[in-house]
Amino acid sequence: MSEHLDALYKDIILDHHKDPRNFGPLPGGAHVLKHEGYNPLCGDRVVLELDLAGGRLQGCNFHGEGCSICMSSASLMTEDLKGKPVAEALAAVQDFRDLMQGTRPPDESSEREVEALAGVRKFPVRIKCALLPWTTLKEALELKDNP
Amino acid sequence: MTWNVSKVRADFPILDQKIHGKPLVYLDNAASAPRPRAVIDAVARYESESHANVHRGVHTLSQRATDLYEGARSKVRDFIGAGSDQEVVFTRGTTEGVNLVMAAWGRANVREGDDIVVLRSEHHSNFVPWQALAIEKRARLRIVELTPDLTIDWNSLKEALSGRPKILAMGLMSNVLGMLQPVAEIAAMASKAGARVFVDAAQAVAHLPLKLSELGPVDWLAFSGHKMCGPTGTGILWARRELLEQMTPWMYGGDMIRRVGDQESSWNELPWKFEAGTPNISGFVGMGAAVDYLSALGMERVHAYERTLTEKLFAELARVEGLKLWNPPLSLGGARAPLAQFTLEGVHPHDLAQFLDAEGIAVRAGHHCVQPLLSKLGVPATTRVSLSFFNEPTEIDFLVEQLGRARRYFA
Repeated sequence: MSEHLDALYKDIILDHHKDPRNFGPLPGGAHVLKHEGYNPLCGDRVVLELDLAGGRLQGCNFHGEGCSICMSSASLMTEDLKGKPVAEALAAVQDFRDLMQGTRPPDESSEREVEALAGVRKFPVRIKCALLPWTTLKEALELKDNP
Repeated sequence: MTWNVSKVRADFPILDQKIHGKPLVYLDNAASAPRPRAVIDAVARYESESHANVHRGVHTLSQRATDLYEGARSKVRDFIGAGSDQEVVFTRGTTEGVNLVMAAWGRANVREGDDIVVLRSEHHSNFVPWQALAIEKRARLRIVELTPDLTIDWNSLKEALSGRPKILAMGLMSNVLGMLQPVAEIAAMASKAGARVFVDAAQAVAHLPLKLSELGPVDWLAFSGHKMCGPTGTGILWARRELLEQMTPWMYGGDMIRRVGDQESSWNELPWKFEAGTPNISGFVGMGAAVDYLSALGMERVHAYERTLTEKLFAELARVEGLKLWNPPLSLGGARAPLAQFTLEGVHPHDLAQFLDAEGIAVRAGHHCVQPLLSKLGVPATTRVSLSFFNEPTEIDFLVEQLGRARRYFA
């Protein structure tokens, strides 16, 4: 495969695309917060299901349909943020936006798998695919305070 | 038939390049067609030697620019078989043609309770303006459905025309389905039911000999220059003179007036009544060159060669595992644009388009501006490959090989 393409579709990304983590409805019923993000331009749709008991992302699942970048970004995000306090999750969303928009460089030494998405920056039209789960999470967490 | 494809390819400088180190395989012609050298040169020559404003000056350059601009109109007139230059209105593109008719005829003629009829497969540009008019006038937008084989459902058409139809707007060839609509039959039914007929020929004009006399009782026809090897920002709206005369201007300004008084003004002759402001002169010089280029190739010959490509494309795609075509089967017969849209199991269209781009292949992925159709089919996005008369059969082989590789990569 071409080097050009491998910069985008890193093994971690293809792995999360083929085998998405935290995929499907979150069990737990009434206190699950659901929020949908949709990009009408490309049809990508991400539904987040969150359990925010104790001010943390106790549960963080997703489902929907979209390209491999969008779906793997959602999978990587849920893995990255599950269990974290809401404030930390919001900071992580901002940090990921900074990474995608090029205002912070990729952290080569980081062990966080989400850093694999840094390659998307070379493909400007795909940045919105990677961002959709994260902006959807931000909306959901802000909606929680101002329903 | 003899079609020297390598000679034709050499007319298009843009094709001679590598993308990510691979030869460009351009399969996105339905979005926009490349320009042949003849068009590029005509525009450059005009800009370097003849540019001035049209219809204005006494000076030589202005006369030269006017001759070239109006000369392009006559070329288009002959290309589609229009009755006179007065029936050929220059626009920015098909979209402007639709909006012009919506604003200049629709607003004056569609009333509350009337029906506006469109086909399920319309491009957004021939759908949204009518939807907006329906909302504005409290009219009903009625959508003619397709049969399971994606051709027109005649019962649905009959039903849609059973109320108070004022206008029927239809694409001559859908940008994703590709087949030529039976326009003469549809227009005859619509006309009998009391509706005017608007035809979007944006796709068809690049693939068929388009003769107005063969389309039946059509009232307006619109198309774009850039789908037929001309520059972007050029388009044509055709209508018969009597109808254009009944229509009021939709844009006001210079060039469209005859006399301007303090409190009221009168309008210029056709077609300039609909061409307010300084037009895209260089664009239409290029459009004229594009018409000359296609006429020299011969649209009958273009269509015949493209037919062989279409047959090969459908046959090869049918062999790809996990691929589902969303086009009417070729076995139904009839003329086609050389295009297909499909989904590939386990591979999202955007990933597929990205994968193919890495191999130098340009295709379109997404909703193709036909959301009402794709929503109805229950497909969020498809991949579309659209060919032209410069594509080679080996490019189809290469595409199909890469589709197999993409499936192994993602699925």
